[in-house]
Amino acid sequence: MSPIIITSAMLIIYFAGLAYAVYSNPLPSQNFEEYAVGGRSFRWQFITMTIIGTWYPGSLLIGWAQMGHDMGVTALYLGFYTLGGLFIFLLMSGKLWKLGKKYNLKTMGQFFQLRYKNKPLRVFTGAAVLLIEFPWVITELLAAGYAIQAMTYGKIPFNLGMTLVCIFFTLYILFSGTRAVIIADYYQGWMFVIGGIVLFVTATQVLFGGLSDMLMQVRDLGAELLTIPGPDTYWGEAPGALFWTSLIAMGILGGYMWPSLFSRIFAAGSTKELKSSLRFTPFMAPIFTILVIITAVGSSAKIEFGENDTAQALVQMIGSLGPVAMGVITIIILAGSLSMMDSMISSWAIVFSNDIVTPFKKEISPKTQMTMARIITIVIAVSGLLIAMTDLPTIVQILTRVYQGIVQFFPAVFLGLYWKRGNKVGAWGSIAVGLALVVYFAWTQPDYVPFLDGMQGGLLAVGIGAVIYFVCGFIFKKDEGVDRLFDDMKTNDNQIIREEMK
Amino acid sequence: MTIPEIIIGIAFLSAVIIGVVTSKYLLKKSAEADSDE
Repeated sequence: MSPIIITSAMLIIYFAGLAYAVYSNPLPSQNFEEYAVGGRSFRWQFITMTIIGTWYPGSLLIGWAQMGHDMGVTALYLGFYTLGGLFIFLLMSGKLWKLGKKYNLKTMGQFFQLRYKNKPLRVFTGAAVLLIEFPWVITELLAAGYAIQAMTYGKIPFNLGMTLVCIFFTLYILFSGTRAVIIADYYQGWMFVIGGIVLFVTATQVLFGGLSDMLMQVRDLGAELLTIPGPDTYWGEAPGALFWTSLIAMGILGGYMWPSLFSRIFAAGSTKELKSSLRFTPFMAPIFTILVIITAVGSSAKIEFGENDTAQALVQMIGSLGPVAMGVITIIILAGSLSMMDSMISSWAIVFSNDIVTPFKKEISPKTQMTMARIITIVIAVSGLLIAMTDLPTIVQILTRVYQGIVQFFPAVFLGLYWKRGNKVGAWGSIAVGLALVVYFAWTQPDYVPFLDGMQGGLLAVGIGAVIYFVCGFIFKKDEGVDRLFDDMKTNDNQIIREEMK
Repeated sequence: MTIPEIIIGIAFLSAVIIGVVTSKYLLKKSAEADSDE
């Protein structure tokens, strides 16, 4: 049987299962609340898989795998920040959920308006987070394009594959909303858990005789691939000793500031469901990322993998096992890309209509809000596709650069949940100065700053932003009504639900 | 088809089946819990 028939049949089975999982359940009537946060009703199992899905984007198996192949264990920074990011999630998700439930929050901008009593901050945040997260779509489309090219053994070229995937994803997102996105994430999570682990363990066993043998072969090529940087490994350059630590710190602080993840907190059924989701994610998410990256490091041990383009090294290595293995890895990439793109685009559509349009036009019907959300979905998908077809830096370079932008919201979100004296002047100051510095560094030293010993400019900027936030907290008075919000964050879920029912 | 390919294929089918069956079960349970409230 032709390999393309096998991989295509697997793809059809996979998506048939996805369609059945999503659409065989009666979906509640479509209102904007339902579209945006899935009716705030999901159990911890769904939230767990949603979190795993976000740490398993399609770009992991292409972009970070390329980093693993080229730069060895440097790419393991991803596993460390995954774990640290979950700790930040634990610290802020319960408080945010309670405010979300009581005040009907859906986005970070709305949280800022509630916490700092400042509408322009809501609008600015809505616009800024959209612009900053947008490049993720491009990286996911690139990953999906590689996957389609690989699974058709080059019969469908890269750009055509990317276009087909973009059309399919857009149609799916247009007619789904957050409920369908979360059910799809849950279904896809099983493919990452079972398919992913079996695939990578089998591949290392069959191709190298086991993990330790694989790493010994890598060591024979050059010990630097197995050495934590040691900063002379960033694609041939020497950033400095703080580079690796800086990558991890940026990921930890910025990981849950992305609008697509932030709004997921509000989709949970209760704070208990949110906390329960952390029973497994701290073990599972880092295990998956580390397994993928270690296998990608192993792909550098055989010259035939990634000979023409190192971004494809891992896929070529797994695909060398046969068409079934090729089918599974490309499905995992497509599932990862779909899970990232659907959550990003649907959350951006919500941010756009909720934070950028609604504050200026109060009499907007939920139906119009949904139509707007759908138009923005098409605009984002088409513009993402067009940009993805141009010459771009590597996937990891794109992502580490945008992380420097999103992390600037950390002081205003996190400190705003824990420090009553934090106020709107501090929030504006930290975000505006932080983003201005990031723009400066984006023009001058986008990847790292040599005179800071390799630290990324974004980390310096968020540090300065936090100092500004604290200083303003001591100079200016508290925002109106902040005491009440802190009381709300201390109440239990049932009390909030009872008040809501009244 | 080699043995590793068969193992990977079984893992693939298991993931699809478990994903469909458990999502249906959990959503049904949620709906029942909601209607009880």
